[in-house]
Amino acid sequence: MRILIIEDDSDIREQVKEELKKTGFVVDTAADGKMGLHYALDYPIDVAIIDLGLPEIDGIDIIKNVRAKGLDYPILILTARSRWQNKVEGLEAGADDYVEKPFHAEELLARVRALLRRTGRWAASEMVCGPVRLNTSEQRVFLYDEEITLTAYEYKVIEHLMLHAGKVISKTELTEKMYDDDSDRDSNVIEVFIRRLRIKLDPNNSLKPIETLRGRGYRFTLPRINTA
Amino acid sequence: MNSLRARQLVSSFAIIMGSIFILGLILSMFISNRELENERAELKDLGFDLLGYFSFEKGNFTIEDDLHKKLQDLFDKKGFSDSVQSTVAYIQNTNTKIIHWHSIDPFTNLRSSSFSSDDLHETLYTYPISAKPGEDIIKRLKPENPDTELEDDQDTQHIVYAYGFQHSPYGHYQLVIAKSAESLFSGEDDMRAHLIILFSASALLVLLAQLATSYWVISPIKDFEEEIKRLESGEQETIINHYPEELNPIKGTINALVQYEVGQKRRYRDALDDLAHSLKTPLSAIQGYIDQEENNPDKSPSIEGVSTQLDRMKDIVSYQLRRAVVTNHHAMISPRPLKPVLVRLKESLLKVYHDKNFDINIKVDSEAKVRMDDDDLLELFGNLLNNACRFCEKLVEINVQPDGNFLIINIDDDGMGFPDNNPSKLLKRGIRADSQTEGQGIGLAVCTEIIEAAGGTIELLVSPQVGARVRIRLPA
Repeated sequence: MRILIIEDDSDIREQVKEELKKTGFVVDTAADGKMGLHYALDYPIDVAIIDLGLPEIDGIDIIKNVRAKGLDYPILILTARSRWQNKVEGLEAGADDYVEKPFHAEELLARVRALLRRTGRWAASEMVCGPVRLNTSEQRVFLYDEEITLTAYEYKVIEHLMLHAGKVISKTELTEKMYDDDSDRDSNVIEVFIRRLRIKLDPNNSLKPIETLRGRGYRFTLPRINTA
Repeated sequence: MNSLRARQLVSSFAIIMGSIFILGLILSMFISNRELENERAELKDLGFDLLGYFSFEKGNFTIEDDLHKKLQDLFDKKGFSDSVQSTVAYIQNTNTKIIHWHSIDPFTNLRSSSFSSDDLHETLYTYPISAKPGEDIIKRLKPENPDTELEDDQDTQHIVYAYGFQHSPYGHYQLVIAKSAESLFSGEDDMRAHLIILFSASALLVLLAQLATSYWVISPIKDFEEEIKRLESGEQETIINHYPEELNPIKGTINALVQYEVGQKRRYRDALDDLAHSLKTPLSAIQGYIDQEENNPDKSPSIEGVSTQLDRMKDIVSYQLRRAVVTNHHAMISPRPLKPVLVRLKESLLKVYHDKNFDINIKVDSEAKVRMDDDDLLELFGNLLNNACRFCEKLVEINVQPDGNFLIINIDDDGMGFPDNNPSKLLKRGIRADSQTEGQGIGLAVCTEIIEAAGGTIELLVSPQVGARVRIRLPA
């Protein structure tokens, strides 16, 4: 999962970044509106957290630009302006939710997770596809109610595939969601993760949960049980 | 009389009617005098004709016998007869007042010096008129002997002409000719009737013209008034139309005032937004550090105290900033429609509470308005609807009902409702229904401040769905 934070206050930006990274998200940050808009438009973002009062370009304008380009990833407004006029303007511009400053890190994280579930059309923090159950808040995965042990990267891959269950996810997209901007990227590693996941999720080779579509990517095939 | 047009019409009506009355009076007097002068000319000729028949010898007026017939013809021609209503003439000594001749009995006693007074009283009116020699006078007069038994209306005025002459040494004489003024009066009455009709028609036409003029003169003021109403209702921000130069200074002053008011409000709110940003961002950073420290196994024991104090600071800052933007109730606030605000909030809140399966039912007429600033409306209903959405199960409903000059608005939900024990304390700052849920206490306290500033009231009740009902009463 790739999250963009556009926040001019360096303390808050770093705190939120650290909190999200700890939870397993790939985080991009921008300290002003201009840089933020560049990330928001050109990077494969899953969720954006945008402060409204930004230098260079206002947060509302960034949101309007993102929506004008047809990008529909969820946007969370971070605002010190507590008036409803500001919140409604932000939501009308295309944001999906807001968090008022000052905020607790857990609250922000909960809102981000809720927005992510919303994108993948998951209504709860738990995603169930066939016998596979993934709990996003605890970051645990179960097969037939037995927990399976995954590395952090393996969890990121399965979470993204299950979040978009039924949809084709390209290898490039998976790579971008997993790695920070400054990390070395090796797309072959994805194939390794997929193979390991297949073994862990389908030891008898009977479920075939991850389908490979040659030249296009991967698809999580198990049917959603608790889709919203 | 509050209407300018009514004032103008009434004043111009009074002036026109007054002018017409005075003009009519002057014209009537002028016509009357002119008629009298015409009579003078006619009677003067008659007087000279009459005097031509008389000879004067030793103090007596005589008429040659051969002239009797001619005089009688003149009498017949000029309307003399023995009737008192007819034209009469007499010759009188102005010093002794003795009548020496009169037309009722023109050929008798001409030799005597006078008629007996008793006889005269029975046959002839005399008039209080006296012309000096060479002078001629014409007057409307009543007879000086009205107690006579002669049949006549005693109030009747006659036209009396007198011509003075002298015969020395016998004294001064005057020929008096009197005739009924009836024809003169009827002529004047006809003229007056014509004048009244003419002047009434003129007055009507002038009034109609005045009405048209007043419409033309007043129409810029009416347009001005309409534009001020649109300004009040927020349909436009300044007065833009062109007006006659007399209205331009007022237009300029109003525009300057409105712009000053709007500018002040905007600057104030911008300043508060900046203040909020500069206060809350460091608070947020401190909160982040405290959160990190709280997760640290070797955390300082005082961190909880710092966290509690930070929470207090957050509440105080939030509350004071939010109440600082509440608009004071003043004359420039016009009634604003409620429904568009609720629809905007509904769409925003359905986004925020996307994962919650519920509905917001707005049962509000498009005509429903409340006298409140737009920002305050959004702030008030934003807080109330947000609370309702947060605590409801499946439904939030807003309905309104008029209450005289007020509007009662109920915001209902089907949630757990307010606590039974003194729910009104929630309206005071800092008391929360659910201590786990940040901000509710502040929201309701800010709502109370907004409502009180607008001159309304708020009550916390039970909804028909046995959840919470917030009932507010606002000036419409």
